[in-house]
Amino acid sequence: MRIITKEHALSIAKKLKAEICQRGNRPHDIAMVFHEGRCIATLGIRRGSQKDLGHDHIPRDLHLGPHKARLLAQCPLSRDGWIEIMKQKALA
Amino acid sequence: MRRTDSCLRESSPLEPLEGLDGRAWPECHGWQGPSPRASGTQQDWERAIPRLVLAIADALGSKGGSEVRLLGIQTKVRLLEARLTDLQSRTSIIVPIESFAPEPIEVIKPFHVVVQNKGDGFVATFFDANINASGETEEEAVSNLKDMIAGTFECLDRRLKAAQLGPGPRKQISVLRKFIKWSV
Repeated sequence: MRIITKEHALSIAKKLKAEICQRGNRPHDIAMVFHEGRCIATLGIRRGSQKDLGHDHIPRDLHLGPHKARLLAQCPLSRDGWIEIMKQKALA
Repeated sequence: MRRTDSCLRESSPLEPLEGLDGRAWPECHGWQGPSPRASGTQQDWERAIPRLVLAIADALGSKGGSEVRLLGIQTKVRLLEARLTDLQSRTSIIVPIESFAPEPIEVIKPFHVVVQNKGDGFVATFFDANINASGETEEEAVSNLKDMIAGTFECLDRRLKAAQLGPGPRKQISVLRKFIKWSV
């Protein structure tokens, strides 16, 4: 079973207010998350119409475990909560 | 004495079973204890009943023991199957990256990426730069990872200035520049 699907990845990108770096017809778009004017994380979003396309690489992109990444995609973990985790890891 | 159920004759559920020769059922099945008809004394029964109980317990015990052993083996097999599945799911392969063709990227120094099974698919990772990609197969995951490496290199190297990079992306571009460069 996939932990993170494309639908989750898009929710996460939207929640983190990521800027999408368009790359023409390449297999991935790169979503860049900024905090205080600096890019602190990049995540790859696969192209394709399938909502359940596997994106199990997203937790690593965000320096999170799968469970917290899913919380980010759903409701409980906020952008501010994630920024706090990144600060604790000296990544923001 | 041979044990055989053919020695039983029909009896009502309320009557004690008797063999065809008129002997009581335990005797018919090889039980050596006295029958009330043989001795008729209560002392004989008091000595015989514990032996009968032990004989029945032995018979049940040997059958039950083999069932318990079988259950134990089945449990062990299930545990081993679960362990094997777990180990298979953790299996990683290491893939060397030597080219990004047809991308305009040249490999300065070949590097390795790790592909791990993640349930329904695979995740390929270039751990040094923390760049990751998913795929339905190992090949697709590696191919997607190459695209992600190229995309990250492009976005961080060409679209952002150094001052716009946080600690993570700064490390990513620093690592990438050791392994790849734009081909002219």
